[in-house]
Amino acid sequence: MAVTEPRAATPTFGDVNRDVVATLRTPGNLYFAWMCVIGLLLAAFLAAWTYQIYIGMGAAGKRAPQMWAMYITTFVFWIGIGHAGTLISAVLYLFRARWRTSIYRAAEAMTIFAVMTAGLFPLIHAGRMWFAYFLLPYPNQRYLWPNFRSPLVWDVFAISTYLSVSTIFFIVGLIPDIAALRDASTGWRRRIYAMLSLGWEGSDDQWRPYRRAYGLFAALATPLVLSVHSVVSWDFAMALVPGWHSTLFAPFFVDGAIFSGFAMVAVLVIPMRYFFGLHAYVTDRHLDYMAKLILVTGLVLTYFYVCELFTAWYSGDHFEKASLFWKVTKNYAWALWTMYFCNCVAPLIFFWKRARTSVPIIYAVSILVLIGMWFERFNIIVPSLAHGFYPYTWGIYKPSATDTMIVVGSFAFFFLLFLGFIRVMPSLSIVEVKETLPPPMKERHGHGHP
Amino acid sequence: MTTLWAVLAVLGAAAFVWGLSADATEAWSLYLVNLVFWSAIAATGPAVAAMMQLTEARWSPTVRRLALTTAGFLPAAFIGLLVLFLGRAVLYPWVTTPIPVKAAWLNVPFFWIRTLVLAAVLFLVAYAFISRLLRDPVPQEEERERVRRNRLATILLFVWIITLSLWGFDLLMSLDPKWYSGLFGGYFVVSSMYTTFAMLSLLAVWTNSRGIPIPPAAVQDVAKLQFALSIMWMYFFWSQYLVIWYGNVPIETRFFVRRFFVQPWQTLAWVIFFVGWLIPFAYLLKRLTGRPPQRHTPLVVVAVMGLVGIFLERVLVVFPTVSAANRLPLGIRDLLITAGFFALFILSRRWFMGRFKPVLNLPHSGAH
Repeated sequence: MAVTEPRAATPTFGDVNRDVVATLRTPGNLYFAWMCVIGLLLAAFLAAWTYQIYIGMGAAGKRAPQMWAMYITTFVFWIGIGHAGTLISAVLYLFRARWRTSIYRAAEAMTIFAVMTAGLFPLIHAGRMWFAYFLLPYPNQRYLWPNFRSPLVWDVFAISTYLSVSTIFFIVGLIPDIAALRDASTGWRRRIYAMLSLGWEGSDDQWRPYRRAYGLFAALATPLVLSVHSVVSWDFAMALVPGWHSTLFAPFFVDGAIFSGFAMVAVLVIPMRYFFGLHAYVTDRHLDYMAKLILVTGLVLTYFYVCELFTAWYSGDHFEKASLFWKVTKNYAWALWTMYFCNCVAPLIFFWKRARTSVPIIYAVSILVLIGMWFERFNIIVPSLAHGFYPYTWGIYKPSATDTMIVVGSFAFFFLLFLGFIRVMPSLSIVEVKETLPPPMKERHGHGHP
Repeated sequence: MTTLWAVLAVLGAAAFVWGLSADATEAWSLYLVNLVFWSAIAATGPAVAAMMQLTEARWSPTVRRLALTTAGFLPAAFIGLLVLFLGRAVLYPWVTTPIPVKAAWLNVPFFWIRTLVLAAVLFLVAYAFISRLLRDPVPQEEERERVRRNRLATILLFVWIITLSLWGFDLLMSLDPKWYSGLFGGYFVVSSMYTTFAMLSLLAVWTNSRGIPIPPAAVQDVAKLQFALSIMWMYFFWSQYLVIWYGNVPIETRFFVRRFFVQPWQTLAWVIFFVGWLIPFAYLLKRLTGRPPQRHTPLVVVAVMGLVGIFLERVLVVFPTVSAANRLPLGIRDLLITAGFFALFILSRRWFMGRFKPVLNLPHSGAH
């Protein structure tokens, strides 16, 4: 992938069109090299999944009590990643935070691809994935409806609602930009973009209902930021397993999801800025704000960790205390302390302004946060199940090559979708970026058009 | 007018003393309800201003200063906490009957030292922040000044969230030392933010009526935040309720069984739901979908409903635990105690306005 030289000055309307269209040019060798790596990982992912289907769930190291292990850990991780997109696109839109314009398209795409990646795991984890439709409330002659009191069924509804609304919101936001691409392209590309732009001409009659619809979707999507991960958290909190049954879980999960989502946005946007030369659009100010949001959500997460530890002790419940002691000191203690370091200590560096505008530091901390948040879900699931109420139910989980490959492959699946997207669709919103720029003046000949 | 408020405050104090001799449990319970309710608003006002400082909010400098004015009650709150020490044996059963497994946390010296020290630190930092923010005519754009304000705002927010969470865990949750909910501290913080934004709506409308213009768009923004916090309040309640109901563990459910299935608490719970949340939510949802209205009377009504709702919620948290009698505190003595606290809040805010003389007539840039 060729690196585009950064543009230093404030861009004009014409620059925006040109720069965004430039991101869709035929990519360089580096891009294809990455795609090859992703292809190899995906092949390994498919081979591992096929092997698991052939052998059974034992191939993935699933033994009682560790039936959730890495699959549900990674499922929750990806659902969490999918949160920041809606937060940036909908909540920051309603708060009129104009700095979102440069990053929200990438964040929205990330949301949808992350939820799609998460959606793989219930299928993989079901074992016989061809019976996955059992989760849906379809009528049948034996009245085997799903158990609506099970939070796992709530998940199906919450996540499918979230995916539907996020996708519609994403597509609605794309329409004017696809029209701009249509106008800038020729041949078969023009025909495809013309079809996808749904006859958009940019007239007043179109803009007025468009703006209303966009605001409406933003308002609809906002409660979903709270609801989806709350429901996912209740998969755990509703059970009486020590370490799971906690009133803290819903807001704790939502905050953690936003935290990891912002980290993933930084991980995706920083290379985009570098390779596409988008420094004029994703400025140091944007990085500063993202770092601040990571810091704030990290601090809130630390608050929840402290409350969790305090309540486990304060409850006076022997099982809660035993579970906590075991987590902190025994087999999986390394995972817990890794989580505390990555989620609580590492983001503290963002108290310093210099760190908030340093690309290497932001990148490193974001990756640490992603590692920490994966381990957070691991720590909730594996050590809690490993040390339940009765000693005869205790059991240690060890990852197998099969489930490790499937988890790694899920990252390949996500990046395949994202890297594919940025080659065919504008990864920066042309329309909304223009709204933040000064309108073109007559004397500035040769610089674009309104 | 000041004399009238002062008389009401004295009457409230007298009613409290009278209550101590007649029914000490009820008097101390109502004292605690009022103390945490008004003190939380007083402490959260400067915290809201600190949040506005850190987020570089420019939508209303007047609203930011109005938020500071609730801090007038902080000295009274500190004295109130000292007085509460006298009622410890009536309110907190672990004082007379210690619980061995929790004694490291629930013991008299540590409990009161952390409560008083944290309150003192919070109040001092709040006043340091207020002095810095009201220091005129330092230009706000000056970088060094901005950094100092940001630093104080950060410290204030740290101390504020720790202190208010502990008020939730200690002053309220430990009334029943066997019951616990990990989210209760956060719930107290969020519900206090809801009351503070409701109070800010009232103050903004009242300031407007006194000839200091606050644009309808800025009032609308306060209403939006009130709306958002009302949802957060209900979300934090629901996050606890659903988990406890579903888990069905007796030591957890007993909190809700007493409040939701025994009269008059059951009726009170429904009143709180409608008055404190559903009606304000429905009105604010409608208000926020249109252009900012010029008339603010309905906003005043729902702001008062929000305040009353959370006040009653504090009653619902405290009374069924402390008092064996299933009786609402609606006698003349009870009303006088609450009126006394309200009068004290008004008087202390007036003291603040006289002491700091904050300029409220500030230009609104209209930047949103």
